[in-house]
Amino acid sequence: MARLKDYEDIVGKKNLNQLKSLAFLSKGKKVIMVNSTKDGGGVAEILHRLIPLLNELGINCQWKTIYGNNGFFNITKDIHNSLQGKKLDIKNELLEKYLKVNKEYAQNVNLDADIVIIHDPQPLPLIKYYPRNNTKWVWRCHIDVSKPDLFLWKFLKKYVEMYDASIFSISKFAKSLPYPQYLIAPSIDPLSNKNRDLSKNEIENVLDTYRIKKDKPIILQVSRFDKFKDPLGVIKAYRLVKKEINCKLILAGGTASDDPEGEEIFKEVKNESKDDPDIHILFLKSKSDIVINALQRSADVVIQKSIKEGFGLVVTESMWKEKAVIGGEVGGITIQLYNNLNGFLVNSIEGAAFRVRYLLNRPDVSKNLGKQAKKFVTKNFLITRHLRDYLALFYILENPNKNIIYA
Amino acid sequence: MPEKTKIFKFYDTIVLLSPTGQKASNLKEFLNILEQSEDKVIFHHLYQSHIKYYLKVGEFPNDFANWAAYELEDMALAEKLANFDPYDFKTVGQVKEKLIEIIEEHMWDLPTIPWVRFGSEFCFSSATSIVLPLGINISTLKKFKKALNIIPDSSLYLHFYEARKIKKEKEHDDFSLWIENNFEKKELVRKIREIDFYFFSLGEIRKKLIGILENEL
Repeated sequence: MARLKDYEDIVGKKNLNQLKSLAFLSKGKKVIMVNSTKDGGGVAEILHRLIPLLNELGINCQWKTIYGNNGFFNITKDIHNSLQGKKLDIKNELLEKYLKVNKEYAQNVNLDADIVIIHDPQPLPLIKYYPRNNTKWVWRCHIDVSKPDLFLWKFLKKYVEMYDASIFSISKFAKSLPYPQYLIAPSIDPLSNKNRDLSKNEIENVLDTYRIKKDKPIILQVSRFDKFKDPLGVIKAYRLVKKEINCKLILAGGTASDDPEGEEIFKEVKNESKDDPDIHILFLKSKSDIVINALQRSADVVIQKSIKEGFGLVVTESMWKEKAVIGGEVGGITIQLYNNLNGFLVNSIEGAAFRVRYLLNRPDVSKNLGKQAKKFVTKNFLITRHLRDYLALFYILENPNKNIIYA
Repeated sequence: MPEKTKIFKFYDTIVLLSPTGQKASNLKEFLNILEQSEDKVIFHHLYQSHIKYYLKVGEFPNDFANWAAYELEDMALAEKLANFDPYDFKTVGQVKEKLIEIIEEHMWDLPTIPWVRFGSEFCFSSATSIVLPLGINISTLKKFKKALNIIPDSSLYLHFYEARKIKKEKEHDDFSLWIENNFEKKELVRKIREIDFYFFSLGEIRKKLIGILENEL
């Protein structure tokens, strides 16, 4: 596991010193993060890297996960989808079950701390069932709640309003709430297996394992098999490109333990692509970080054609690898990609196909966009910036109602 | 901040954005929310834009002008909001009045109220800053130049941009004030104050300052 000093070559001593000064202000503070899985998905991935570094900086930071069975995660998946705008009419008895799991967990867990940060909707109602003391409770929402299903939002808002503060990834997701809201974009770890430099051999090994020949341009989308990531739309875009350019498509992804829908969508995608040997569908198990890294580095063009997106860290990962990315103009992708400056934003299958063709025909442009993309990520979306924002938040929570805090 | 003493203490600022949750989908809504906004919101969108990292520097210098140009697609309004210099005013309240006047006058001549599509609303935000000493204290111009190479961008922003507005009576950046109060270097002070900082990124400002010091020392 990387130590703080290992980041010096990437972000510079200035930034590391800044983190140390900031951490000194909250030294010894006890912070507990709660989410719903330690395995799979962007949130778990971030917490795996962020928590050891916070501890190294002198914060007593712990990580707990709410436990539930498949039934619970089916409900929370529906809640997740409804918060992203899907109309599902979740039945009252299911919502009761959701509350019951939270209540039982609250009775069995110790969340006594200076700050408790609850990630996403799964453990959101814990605040109602855990005894209130001086702890500051913060709801960290990673998903796109810009237009949630109204019924569900009204139901959840009661719990959201009990918190002391909320964190959103981009300002479009912020709501009208009776307390301060903060913006903290997620981040990637440049030293993790998913993002570190790979040798030529490591990359070739991965391609050999999955029997992918680099004999024609590779279009890649890496994402969970999820309707909101629009894998079928990517296949359609690839078919439009294929009419003009002989290329291949890789759709690679896995599922998370709190996402029961994944396998179903995977089958649908597999079925759609079965007659084309140039479409590679890779169902990746968790801990496939080096595989994802190698695929991203091998791709000629990376797509993330999401139709809803919390942030889209997979976009960040490819940008870090100097790839020109074509992303759906939704959620957090819009604060990462800027048309023709560091990538492209698209709104349709045709748009995705057009931009892929453009980039495959113009490797010079692609290379330049990729360089800009890496620069942009270095400045805005690395884990050191994420640490800085959390450390700032810890101190701000201790000093409420001030615009400028002189430390 | 520089006092009468010769020592210059470098400070750093860490800014955490705090959205208000208010969003404007058209120019009328934008104006209404702007009229009700607290000073800290106006301050953030006009002054703290400089601390954000833009891919293209200098096209439009503040959040309002950028939104008018790229989301509202009203280039005339963007130009008016870009050319308006918030550092010309003594208080954020006066800045707000002027902004309202510009938008009202612009709207008066429009045949219809311009809207943005869903997802392109202007999201109002403020920010909380933590100001803390960097631990770099210097007393000579030579050491000052050396320090400019190692301070983070956020420190440069604090002393060169935000300092002009953090206390109402200030009109100049911390650096030129310190040099003016402690050294007989009128030419150096003049050159620093001549930088039209509105059009440069923090990296460019750093290079400019170091370049000016190199020539003068």
